[in-house]
Amino acid sequence: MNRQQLTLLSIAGVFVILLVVRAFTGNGFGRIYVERGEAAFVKVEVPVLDAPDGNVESEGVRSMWVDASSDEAVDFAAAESPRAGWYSVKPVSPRVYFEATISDDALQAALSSPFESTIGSTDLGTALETWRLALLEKANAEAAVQAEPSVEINWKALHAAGFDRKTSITVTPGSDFKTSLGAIFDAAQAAGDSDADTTVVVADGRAIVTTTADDVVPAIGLSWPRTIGLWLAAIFTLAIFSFLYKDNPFYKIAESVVVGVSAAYWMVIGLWDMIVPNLLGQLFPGFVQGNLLPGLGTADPNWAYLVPAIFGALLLMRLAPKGQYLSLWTLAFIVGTTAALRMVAYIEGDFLSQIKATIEPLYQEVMNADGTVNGYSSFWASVRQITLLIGVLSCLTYFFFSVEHKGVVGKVARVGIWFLMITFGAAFGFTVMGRIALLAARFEFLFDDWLWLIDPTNQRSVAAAVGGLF
Amino acid sequence: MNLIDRMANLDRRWIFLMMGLAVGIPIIVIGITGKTLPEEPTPLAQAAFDVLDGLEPGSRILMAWDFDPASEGELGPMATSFIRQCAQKGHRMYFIALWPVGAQMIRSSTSRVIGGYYPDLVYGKDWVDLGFKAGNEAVIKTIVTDFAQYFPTDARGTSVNAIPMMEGITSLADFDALVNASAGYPGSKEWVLYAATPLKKPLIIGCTGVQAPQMYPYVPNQVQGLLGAIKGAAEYESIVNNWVRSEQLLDALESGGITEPTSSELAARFAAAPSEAVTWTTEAAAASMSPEAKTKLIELATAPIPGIFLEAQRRMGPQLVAHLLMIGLIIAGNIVFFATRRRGGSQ
Repeated sequence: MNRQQLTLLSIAGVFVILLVVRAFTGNGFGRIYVERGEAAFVKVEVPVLDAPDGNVESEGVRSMWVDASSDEAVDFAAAESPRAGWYSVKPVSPRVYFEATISDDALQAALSSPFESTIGSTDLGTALETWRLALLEKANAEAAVQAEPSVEINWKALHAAGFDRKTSITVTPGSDFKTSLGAIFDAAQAAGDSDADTTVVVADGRAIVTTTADDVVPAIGLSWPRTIGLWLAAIFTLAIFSFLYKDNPFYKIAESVVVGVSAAYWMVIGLWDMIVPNLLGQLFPGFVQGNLLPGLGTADPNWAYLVPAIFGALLLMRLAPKGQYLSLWTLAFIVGTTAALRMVAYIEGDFLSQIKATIEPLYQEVMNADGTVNGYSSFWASVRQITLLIGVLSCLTYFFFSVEHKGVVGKVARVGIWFLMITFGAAFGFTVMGRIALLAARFEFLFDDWLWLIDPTNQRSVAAAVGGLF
Repeated sequence: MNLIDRMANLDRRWIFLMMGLAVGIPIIVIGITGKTLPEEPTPLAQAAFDVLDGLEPGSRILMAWDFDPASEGELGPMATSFIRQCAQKGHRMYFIALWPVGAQMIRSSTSRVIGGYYPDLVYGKDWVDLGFKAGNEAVIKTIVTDFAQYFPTDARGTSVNAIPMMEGITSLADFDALVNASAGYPGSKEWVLYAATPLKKPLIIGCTGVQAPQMYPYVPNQVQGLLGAIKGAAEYESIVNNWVRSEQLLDALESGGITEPTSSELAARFAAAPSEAVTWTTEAAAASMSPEAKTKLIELATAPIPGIFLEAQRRMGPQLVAHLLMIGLIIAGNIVFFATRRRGGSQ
């Protein structure tokens, strides 16, 4: 590496370091945010109301998995009901993250403000909902033109701790929202509910009533795996673009990765979308349904599928040191069936249908809605049909080599060449348009998803995007 | 060295740079200002819209997404608009893919449109993702007569027997229309040859610019609607955007007490010129509407169109500048060629 290359590389390195540092400070850019939540389901036995009058039939009970916070979960879950839970992650707009961050103050201010609603005698669910709506109204007023905060009751955690939304309580609210919430839970505990500690957590623009401060709090945060994926996509895009300057190692790496990943992807897709359901699923339906694809219906084995299995195995003989000729049988079968399939389709779809579409009257009559002839449209439709006929005949003449292209035949063939040239020009124009659209899409990705220079889908505010530049 | 010599020996990397700027700068300008170029729909784009619009709500539409991320820039906006029209109209959508990565394209477009703007649609009742199937045209040829042979489950592994909207689907003949977004082989041509022609089913094609010239001969007998490249996508997108806006305005007007045919005329007028809705609400003709209904009408008329439904129209800006650059380069190239030939240079 000579001195000039070293200098250029150093400048590029410093630029990249500055880019990365800027990306991960402040509002930055090139980040993907996700919302982490807990998905909890409980298995319940729900009566089936088959009778017209709503009465439950004696054996009309079905088991089902329902959201742990749903009414069905509260009403029909037994203490020993099996539960399933996991963390779910869903991408959110960076706007949500930014705006959520600035609205925590509004929530804290609202929690300290006087509670002016009345609750009285009701159930725990209604009391908490009254409190929630009042806090939401107050927080929105505090937030003013800023983002609207959200207020949630984490019923999953409350149910798990032993609180029941149907518990009857009588509440005397406190002076502010925090003390009023404490009064609601005190009343629930006095009525026999859980004695677990409850709290209200403010984080990421949300106030969440839950049992512990650090348990199952949905949070919006940076997703490192997705962010790294975004940066890799951007870097590989630039690596491919670098070929426009000249061939280089970055381009070669990106090219090799594309080829390798595509080959691997094809193999996996071929296995799971073709061989497993369409071959193994036919030969061993019970095994496939029990171990690989639970959704696949069970049926008797279809032994006719041994034929494609054998042909497939023969095709692999190309890789064997001996007996490669066996793969030719499969290839012959593929070539033969493909040719036959295409011949029929092309004769019907391309040959006969196109001839039929060409043999139309030269005078085309276009009618108005009231049944009269539209002269203008009829004229141009007729011109189109005549042009089509001239084009077809002249192009066929050009490709008719049994007669020397002289005299009239030569002139007609020359018209055919013009038609062909116009067709190629139109095809080239369409191709250019397509390629520019693809380039525009890649630029949009770089400017929007990566650099946050633009925000056409309103993912972030313009201010955040421009702020990311400086 | 004079100008002609310099241009004759111009390093092609300068042209790459000019093309990059011609595409990049309009993207930034349009991205910041939000302004797009007006689109005048051609009969082909209008025909594509009319086919889906003419079907009764609840019709079964097979949507084949035969493309990959490499052509997503052209076909993604078409896919988005196809789904939007079908969802708004209330058609049932059956998604399949003959390209391996088409399965991801289905997930991407459905999550963006259905997940974001039509969350009320129920999976399995209003739309279903049947995923990718290998086999190219053999898949089409087979499902023309036996749909379940290639699609025993959906993309999530659920048996089609357990999916309500699959009831009564035994072959391609059970669908009311076919929609195909295609980037090559297998794609539009195969759907024309193996499905639309023998079954005489309405087929709407959205294809890349490279494919479009090959598809024109099939219009209108074998292909009823054709969207060629990003231009076709932009035209169709503008038709669907106007139609959705007028449908929303029609609902608002009718819920405010304005009856047909006045409501339809006003909805179409306000969709084309949103500012007229603001002035109309102050006129005597709007006196029967409540203040809330008027506010809702104005909000709907003036609300910006979501960015994902303007993708194709945004990309027409770079098209314009890049094409102007190309025309300029072609003229310059010809001038250089003839000037060099006149001087006796290379021919």
